[in-house]
Amino acid sequence: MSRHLRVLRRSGLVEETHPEFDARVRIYALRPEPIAGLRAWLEETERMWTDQLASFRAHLEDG
Amino acid sequence: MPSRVLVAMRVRATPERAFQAFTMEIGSWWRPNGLFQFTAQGPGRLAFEPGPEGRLVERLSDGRVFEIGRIRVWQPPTELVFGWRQESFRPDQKTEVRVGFEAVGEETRVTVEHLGWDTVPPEHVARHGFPAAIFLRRHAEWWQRLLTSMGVAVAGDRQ
Repeated sequence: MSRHLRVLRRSGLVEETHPEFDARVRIYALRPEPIAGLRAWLEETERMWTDQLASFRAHLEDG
Repeated sequence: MPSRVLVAMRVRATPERAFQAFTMEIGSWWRPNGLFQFTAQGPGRLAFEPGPEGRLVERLSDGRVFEIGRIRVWQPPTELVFGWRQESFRPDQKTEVRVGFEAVGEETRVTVEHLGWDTVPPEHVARHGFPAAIFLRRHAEWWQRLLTSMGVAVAGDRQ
């Protein structure tokens, strides 16, 4: 379990904090920013390919 | 979270013609995109070096050739798979593009699947300010539209 959490922390998907009263306790929280970043990237990739295929079609059909 | 993108479009051509145009004429129809710039120096001209051992490259004006990816499947007229790396990616960041050509009556359905965006880690997104770049581009487009419609309005006033 802790190994999985470590991987998630390294990838920036979760963040780890300790409560002040006990440093042995770890609190993991999800960070939304990386997922939002990936989603934005995917949306842009989709837009890019839609543009490319439209240009490809114009090239095929008008040329 | 899915990390692939799927886009499909029908074209009025045979799969043979579509495959040929997609590969051998990419330099004529490809539209450089600021967010997906392959090299800092670009945009250059894209070209496929055809065949199963071939690759997709960007040829820059100074004669330099940047390898975007090697061809993984070259099966005219139905299937094409190649790697996709931008210069700013780290060595372990790899994405892949799969293109399918399927006859539908007299036409061809072209399908592009772009996979592996999860290999581009969040740090990279942050470092390269991708969301910020999107924002700036949207903003620039907005201004452009605004100025165009303003130009139209001004021209209309003069008539």
